[in-house]
Amino acid sequence: MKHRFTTVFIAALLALTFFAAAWHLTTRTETGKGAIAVLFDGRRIVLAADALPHSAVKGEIVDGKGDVTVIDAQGIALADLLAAAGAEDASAVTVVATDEYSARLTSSEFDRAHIILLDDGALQLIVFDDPDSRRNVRNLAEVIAE
Amino acid sequence: MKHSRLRRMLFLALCCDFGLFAKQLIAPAANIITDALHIPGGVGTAFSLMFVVIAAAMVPRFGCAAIMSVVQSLLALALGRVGSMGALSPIGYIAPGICIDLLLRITKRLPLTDRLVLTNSLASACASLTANLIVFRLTGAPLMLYLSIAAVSGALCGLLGAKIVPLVRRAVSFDIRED
Repeated sequence: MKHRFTTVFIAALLALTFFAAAWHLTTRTETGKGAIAVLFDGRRIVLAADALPHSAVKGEIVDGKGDVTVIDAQGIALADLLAAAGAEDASAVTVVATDEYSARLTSSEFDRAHIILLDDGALQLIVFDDPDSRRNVRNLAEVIAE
Repeated sequence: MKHSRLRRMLFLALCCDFGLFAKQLIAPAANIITDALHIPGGVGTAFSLMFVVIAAAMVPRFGCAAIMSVVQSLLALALGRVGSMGALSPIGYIAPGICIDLLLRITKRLPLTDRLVLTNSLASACASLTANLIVFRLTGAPLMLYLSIAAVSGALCGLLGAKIVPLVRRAVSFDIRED
């Protein structure tokens, strides 16, 4: 058979991918759109973003290219979210998106961090005055407090 | 400069550009797959690496892919297309470039299709692993899925590359082993 190695190699990779997809998709916890799960002290509390205190979030963020984006939206202060979940004493948090992308913030940065509500109902973390724009996590799903 | 050498340089430059911009071209389609699987990427890189693999296979000189990846990283920095890796993005280009050179050297005796499939697949997994170390920090099931998606899409792009190489060879007269 011509290209037997290629056929076997691709078939093996496909099998591995199906196994990994089944493992990942069956073990991950779905939070639901517009909801945030806060994990703290062995507990998992799911909060609806609509039910949390909202405030106007205004400012500018700068991405890696130096492009400035003006933020003018309704949002939730990260400190308020942690307080609502009983995790106000957290020293650091890891914010995780639906695609497992994550960013870590320490308590000294909590007052600059907000979660804004996007038009499509998704949530995005905004950290003002942050030199690392990669931490503006889109499609936020979980906040792991330590 | 000899006519053939100039033609070779132009071909490599063209592949550098194609590789750099190919990712954006298929990003919408790639995002559908990665969003459904809840992973942060892995598909687009395979397609963009295909152009470097094709070029390195057409110009069989050790270091060709590494040099191309250095050029790509400089272009990306100059154009501000650094993505989520930021200032560390050159590592994300150069690591798979070196991987391509090594794999093409190791698989020298294999048929062209097998070489390109294996090289593109492992280079794509290498690129994803580098991105994971620098940015994503995935572990467990998401990491395994992220790497396997990168490898399988790399293999399929390698297969496509193996179909493209004979067509390109008709247009440019470089030496390359017959499949």
